[in-house]
Amino acid sequence: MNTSAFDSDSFLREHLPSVRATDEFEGTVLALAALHRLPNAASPEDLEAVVVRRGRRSRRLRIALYGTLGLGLLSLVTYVLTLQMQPGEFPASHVVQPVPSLVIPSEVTPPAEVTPIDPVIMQRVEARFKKPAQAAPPAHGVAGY
Amino acid sequence: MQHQQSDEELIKRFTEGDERSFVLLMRRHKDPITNFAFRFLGNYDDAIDIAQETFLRVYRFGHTYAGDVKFTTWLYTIASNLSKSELKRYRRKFGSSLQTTFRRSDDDPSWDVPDETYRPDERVDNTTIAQSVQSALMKVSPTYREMIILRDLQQMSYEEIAEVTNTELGTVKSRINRGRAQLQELLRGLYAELYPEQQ
Repeated sequence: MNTSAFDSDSFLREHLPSVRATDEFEGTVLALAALHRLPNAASPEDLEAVVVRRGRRSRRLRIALYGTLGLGLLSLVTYVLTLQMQPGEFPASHVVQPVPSLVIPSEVTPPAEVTPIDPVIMQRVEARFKKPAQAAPPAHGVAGY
Repeated sequence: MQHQQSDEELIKRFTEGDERSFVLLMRRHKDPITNFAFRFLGNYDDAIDIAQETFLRVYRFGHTYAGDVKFTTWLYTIASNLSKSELKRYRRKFGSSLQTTFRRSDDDPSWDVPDETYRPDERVDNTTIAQSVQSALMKVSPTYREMIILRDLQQMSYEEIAEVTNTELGTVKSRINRGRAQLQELLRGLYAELYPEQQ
């Protein structure tokens, strides 16, 4: 499998040509949606799109594959994912080399934000926890000594 | 002025084949849904996963949306169910370490297990106050926590919350009250520090 030749943008263009992701969040959802639309037989390029994501994403992608691909293909993907996640336990020749991300754009936009706490309250707390400025030492020793 | 399409119009257009409408819906709601999942689970990465899975369900099962409830009600129902499933997965994963009962309410058939999986995430809550509030929220029993988030953070009506959680309206109100009481107790020290003049 020639992973370096994989064009991540073309994957979405081919399977969901009418839409374009603007960040990683959207790209992941659309890539998973595209996987669900695949026919039972996946091309090597599609398989690359699946195995390109590792770690946290791999669990969900495997789940997605249960509903999309055949069991034989599933076991192959699981095997490849295992190789990717534990490269030290296998001969180097069997390790799939890292490939470009499927949907992460070159300039990654910030992830979805959660609602911030009221800034007025934050300022009050920060003021509360802020260390008071230390008083300057007396110029000629301490009075009484 | 350009007319902004309603959620219901967009989901209808999506089910008719316009996939750009799906992307517009996702852009409109991804932050609130991520926020809901984060406040409920206390873990940012898991919240992102839940939010993405929610929209994937919308993509796959959008044709089943009957239009008898608001789109957001339907959307939050999906996110809520996924979040609760994730919480169950936490419990299975961490086992008995979490099986200390915080409080068991009379009207709640499930054990109210405090969720101690929260780890302060600097990307989201990088202030002391935010971490304190989120940490306290995670100690409120999940049944109450979900309703407090929907009501006090997502600004949902009691009626919508009843639909999202498939709960009687009266039960929703009583659980929100009890949840707020738990939260108030947990935040008593912080409140005293923030508003000393009111003590």
